[in-house]
Amino acid sequence: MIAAERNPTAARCHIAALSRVGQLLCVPPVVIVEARQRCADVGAVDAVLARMRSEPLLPQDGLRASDLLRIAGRQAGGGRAASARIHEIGTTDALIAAMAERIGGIVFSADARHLSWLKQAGARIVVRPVSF
Amino acid sequence: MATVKRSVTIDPEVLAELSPERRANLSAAVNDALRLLAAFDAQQRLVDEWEAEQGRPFTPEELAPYIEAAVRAQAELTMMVAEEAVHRYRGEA
Repeated sequence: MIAAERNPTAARCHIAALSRVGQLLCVPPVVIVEARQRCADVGAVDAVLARMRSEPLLPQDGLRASDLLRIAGRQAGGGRAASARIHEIGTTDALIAAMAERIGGIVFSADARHLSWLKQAGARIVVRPVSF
Repeated sequence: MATVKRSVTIDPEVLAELSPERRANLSAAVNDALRLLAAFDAQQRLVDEWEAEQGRPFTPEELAPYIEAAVRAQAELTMMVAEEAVHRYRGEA
């Protein structure tokens, strides 16, 4: 959603392709916050968000996100490195990974590095970088 | 939430395949399934509108890299689930 504003044509092709192969793009609340906060034109983002399936976050997603962050921190080496890694990944991506894991989903991201760290921490997700 | 009542016909074989939990609350199961279909239809309508806006459908060439990425991701997901099932079957962690 965030990348969509940088390259609307690519984002539209991406969503059209998902429709062609029977995949559904789900948008959790944290993505809505990020997309509206970082976009230049809230109206344009809202117009697309209104049409996308929104997927609620559950308390269990919060627990899982926290576990994944802790493991990712330990894998970074503990101490300050752990803290830095957890801070860099951030709550948003951890919650996205937890939700994707729950619904058995694929995460498409313009910056897949954070999600790859979460996958290394044990998140049962497929991370696919998008080129826009 | 307001609800409406509709009479529907269900293939008995489909009904028999449902878990007892879903059969016990068939309305909830039907709502879940319809919500998913409605979301997919809404996504498709958005694509239809974009195609109408540009005056032509997206071409296979335009969509090819995105379709390839989506299909590869789906295949990877399927493999991951299958591998987990094999580990469970073998009693591995």
